[in-house]
Amino acid sequence: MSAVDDRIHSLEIPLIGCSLLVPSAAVAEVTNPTTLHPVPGGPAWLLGVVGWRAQAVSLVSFEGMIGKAVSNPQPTSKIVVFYPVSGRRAGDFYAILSASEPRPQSVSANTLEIEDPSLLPDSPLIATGVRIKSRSMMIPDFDALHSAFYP
Amino acid sequence: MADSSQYLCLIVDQAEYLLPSNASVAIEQRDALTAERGLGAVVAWRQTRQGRWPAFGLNAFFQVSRPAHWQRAVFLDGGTDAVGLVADEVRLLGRTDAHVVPFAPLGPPPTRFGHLFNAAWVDGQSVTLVLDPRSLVGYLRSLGGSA
Repeated sequence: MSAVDDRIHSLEIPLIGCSLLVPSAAVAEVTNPTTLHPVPGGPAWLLGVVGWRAQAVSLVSFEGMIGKAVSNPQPTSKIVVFYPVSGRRAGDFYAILSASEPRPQSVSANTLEIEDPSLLPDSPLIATGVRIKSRSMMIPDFDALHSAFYP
Repeated sequence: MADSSQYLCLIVDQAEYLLPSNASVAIEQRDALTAERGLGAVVAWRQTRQGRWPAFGLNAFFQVSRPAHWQRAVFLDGGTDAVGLVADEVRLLGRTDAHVVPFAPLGPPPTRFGHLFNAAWVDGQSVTLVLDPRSLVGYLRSLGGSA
């Protein structure tokens, strides 16, 4: 009998000055930046909406959500489209602006260390931090993200 | 799920928005309204037998503004009195022109009446947000300008 495979296929999403690590299963697609339509009255971290698969998908700056300067689309940016957070309508996709092309990571307990919490931004949107090959990455708290999106 | 309602397309501060056409009680040309010369939120008035309806100007951030080049005002059913929004242009879309899908803006509602948008027309990569008439009426009323 083979040993249980505890690897999690993940995606490292480069942000400005930090990175996110998310399960690949949470990501619907990575696309190039496209026309961004502003949403009047939205918070500063809501960069706007993009048309994707016949849906209006909100694009957010995760940096802005955790109290850092709001990032804006650059020529190297990518749009990472996520499946809706739990409890939302099937069409409620959302997207996070990535500073560059996300990188696949195959993560297991043997390949990562827990990051020193004092080195992480003080935000409820960060569940924890990990260190893989000496690179620090933040793991988002999807429940907290849900609360921030739909207060 | 596509919506078969008919929509008005409004251009406000150079940006396009849709409004369900059944939310509108009147669309007036600028010439038919009485300009408000003050510095308040009301840009013009529509005179009616019962009184007058205020029309407000908004900028691209939906903050109070006094736009110079507006051409029409759309008045929305506000219960007792209608309330208006001035626009650079207003046109009625054909029933099959706009395929509207539900859309929930992220973040806290910007007004105590809720989010200003509740749907979107997505045409390829182009997105036009659909105004929620109830929130828009509440928001415009909160700007003042009683008759």
